[in-house]
Amino acid sequence: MRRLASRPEQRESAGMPDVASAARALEGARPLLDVVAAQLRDVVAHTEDAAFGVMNGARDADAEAEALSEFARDLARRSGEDAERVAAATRTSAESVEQLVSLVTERDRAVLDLVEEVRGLDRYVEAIANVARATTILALNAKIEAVRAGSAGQGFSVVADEVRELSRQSAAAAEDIRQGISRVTGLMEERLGSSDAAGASSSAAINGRLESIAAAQHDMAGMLTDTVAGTQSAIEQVEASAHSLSARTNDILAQTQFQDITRQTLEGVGGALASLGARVGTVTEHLRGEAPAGSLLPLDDAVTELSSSYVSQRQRAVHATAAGHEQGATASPAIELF
Amino acid sequence: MKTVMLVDDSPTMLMSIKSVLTKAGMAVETARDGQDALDQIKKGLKPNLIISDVNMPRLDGISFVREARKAGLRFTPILMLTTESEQAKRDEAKKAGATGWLVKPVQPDALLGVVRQVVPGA
Repeated sequence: MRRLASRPEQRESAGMPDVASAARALEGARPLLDVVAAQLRDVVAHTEDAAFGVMNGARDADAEAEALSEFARDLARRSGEDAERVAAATRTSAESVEQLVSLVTERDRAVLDLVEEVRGLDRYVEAIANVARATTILALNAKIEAVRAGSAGQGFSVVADEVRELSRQSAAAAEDIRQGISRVTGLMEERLGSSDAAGASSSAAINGRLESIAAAQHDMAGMLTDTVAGTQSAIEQVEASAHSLSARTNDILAQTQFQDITRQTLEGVGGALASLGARVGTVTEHLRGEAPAGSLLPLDDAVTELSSSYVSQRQRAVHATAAGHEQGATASPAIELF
Repeated sequence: MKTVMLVDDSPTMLMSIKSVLTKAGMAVETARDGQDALDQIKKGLKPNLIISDVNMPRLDGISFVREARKAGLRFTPILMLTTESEQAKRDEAKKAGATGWLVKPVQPDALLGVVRQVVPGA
């Protein structure tokens, strides 16, 4: 190695490079590159921690979504069972009311038949009254004939009076019976609701109330069915949201693949820095006179070396753009089955 | 339940893909590189599917495929999941006995679609 001027100012005045100063300046490059490489490794570690944090969060959210979905499914099942029970109870209740209405109607019909039967007794009463009237006329005629017969008819006159009295009593009894029949049938009709005075206790009123109860139950069942339908709809919405959330967490989990891609890219950059550091080290050693010129490697090789370390299409595309080269061939499909 | 073996030196990739497959109802075994996966297979693990990275320490993905086929896993589908996009590498993997090639990042639906294609009933 040729001998250099001993003092920097001498070399500078002679237009020669200050090799010793340049060597000292380059000495700082390696620690700098080491620090940068360490920083890159830290970025990798940091992004890995962050990716784990994101994944754990996504998995927790997914577990919550699954629990919510399970709760919604359980609620839907129980709600469906409740709706079925309500529908069954409403059907049973409606059948009971229908049976009661039928029973009351049947009873009414039987009582009305009885009323008609009792009213039919009127014709016998009328027959008795007719007989009583005929007997009275007969007794009156007998009395006239007894008077004509004079003393011989006195006894017969007494009998005629007794017969007339009996016929009067028969007519009175017939009238009492007619009134009794009228009173009984009137009361029966009253009880059946054919009279305004019957009011709340009439059969028609009872039937009306039963039907009102049935209608109210039907309305309640309808409201409950609507409520259950609303609940089911809300449950379906919750389940759909939970499903959607679960799908989103899947996407989030998949997105963390970026960390591995970034790691590999940064490892490539770290490798390039290490290579640069080695080259700078060789230059420094050469400037100090500790390494021959043949050991110096051109940085073009470092670029080629870096280029060959790429694993992704993205790395190659970025390299081509930065180096001002044209893009390579179109990338193969992202998914390929052989 | 189908068993899938994941082979990757990236813990985040293992966790990410494992979560997607587990959610889809599959059992998942993991290995941190090709050698670890090969050791598990030699110990008797018989997964229904293997999804392996390519660039890994100790034993890379393509060498692993070659060794796994030699170790008796002749018909088990092996998918390569990697950032590697070079056609030459794909061709090498195909020659070694790989079933398919997926470039990272892969979307969950796309991944599950391929998995169900090569493992019916998964």
